[in-house]
Amino acid sequence: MPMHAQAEERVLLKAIASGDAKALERLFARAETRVFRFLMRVVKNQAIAEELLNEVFLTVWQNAHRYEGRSEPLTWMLSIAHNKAISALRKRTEVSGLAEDAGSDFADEEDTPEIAAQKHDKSAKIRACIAELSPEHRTVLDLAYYQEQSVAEVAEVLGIPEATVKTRMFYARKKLSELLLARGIDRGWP
Amino acid sequence: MRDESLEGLSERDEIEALLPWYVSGKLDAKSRARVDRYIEAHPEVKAHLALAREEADASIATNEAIAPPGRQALDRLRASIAAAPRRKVAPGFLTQLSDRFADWLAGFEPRQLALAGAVAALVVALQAAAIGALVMDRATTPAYQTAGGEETAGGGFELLVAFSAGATMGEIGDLLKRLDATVADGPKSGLYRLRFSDAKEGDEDRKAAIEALKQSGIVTAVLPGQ
Repeated sequence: MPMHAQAEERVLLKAIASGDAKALERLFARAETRVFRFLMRVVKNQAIAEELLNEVFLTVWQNAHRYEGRSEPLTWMLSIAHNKAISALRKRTEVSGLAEDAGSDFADEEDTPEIAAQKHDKSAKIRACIAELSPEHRTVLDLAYYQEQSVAEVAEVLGIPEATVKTRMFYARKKLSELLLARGIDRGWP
Repeated sequence: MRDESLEGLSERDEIEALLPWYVSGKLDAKSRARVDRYIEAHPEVKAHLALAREEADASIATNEAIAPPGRQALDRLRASIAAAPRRKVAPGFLTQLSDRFADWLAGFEPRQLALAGAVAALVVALQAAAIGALVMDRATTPAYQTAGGEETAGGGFELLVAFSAGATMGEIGDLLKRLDATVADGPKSGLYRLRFSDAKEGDEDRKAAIEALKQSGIVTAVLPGQ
């Protein structure tokens, strides 16, 4: 995310802390998609993700005065989202089961002839294998690649040490290579 | 320099762990220099950057395949913030809330306001704002709700209640006062969680409260709160 965009979000958070509801709406417009996709990747359920998205921004509204600027606004919001998603999964074991079962929902859209052909492509196989990773491994990959979070930021979002983030990333990539090898793609590593 | 905290990983493993951030440009300068030095000494690792880029493409494509939340997400948030208490409330908050809500209303285009659906949503939101204000006026520390919705009060009992669209703030306030109840949470799916005082615990009190709510003329549904 560009630096000026992060600076703008910091300004918006300051306005939100003083009770500016329109600033909250502007921040929501900027961040809702990223936060929502993060939630969807964790809970794998649209209705729950929408509910949690609302709760995340309600928390932002109520706690913006606590944001001290030590992390980027997106990192702070993803941290809130992660806590709420994990809490929701713990409370609803049936959702946890759904999360595991629905792992390939997004990789496998409707099987048109073109998509069926694409399934044999390497990129499609990588997407499918990422979907097969454990939630912990999948999340660390998404945070680094899609959410563009640094090692320190991933550590903050997940509430774990930076060393654990790196170790988790290593084993996520190792597992991904193993899954791909099982599908006939040898990445030559590890 | 090795990262000694990464137990069980070889130096090569540690470099592989850093490659995702190396390709995303989010690696700090020190670690980036370390990866550069390692690749210079071990040119075969350079080919692994392509693996990390493939992973990045796959992660991004998978995330972007998820449709963004719809317009209703913002409407829902508006209703929630109108009803929700703020943690820090200055004196005269009720007035500030009214002003904020007036500003929010002013933000609508006339065409939007002309839509019957929008008007209906506003009625609900107005009521939510009014009830949210009641929460602020009546809430004391023991009954305060945290952002995550955790309850801090003990005793008493709770009921889930839907108010009629025409109920005014004054009517709802009078009813809550008469029943010694507070709004603990909501609205969720149109329902507010009402908390009744610690002095009311037995079935008789619960039945009496339910009956009083039903007879009030401004309540359309009463459900168990737990």
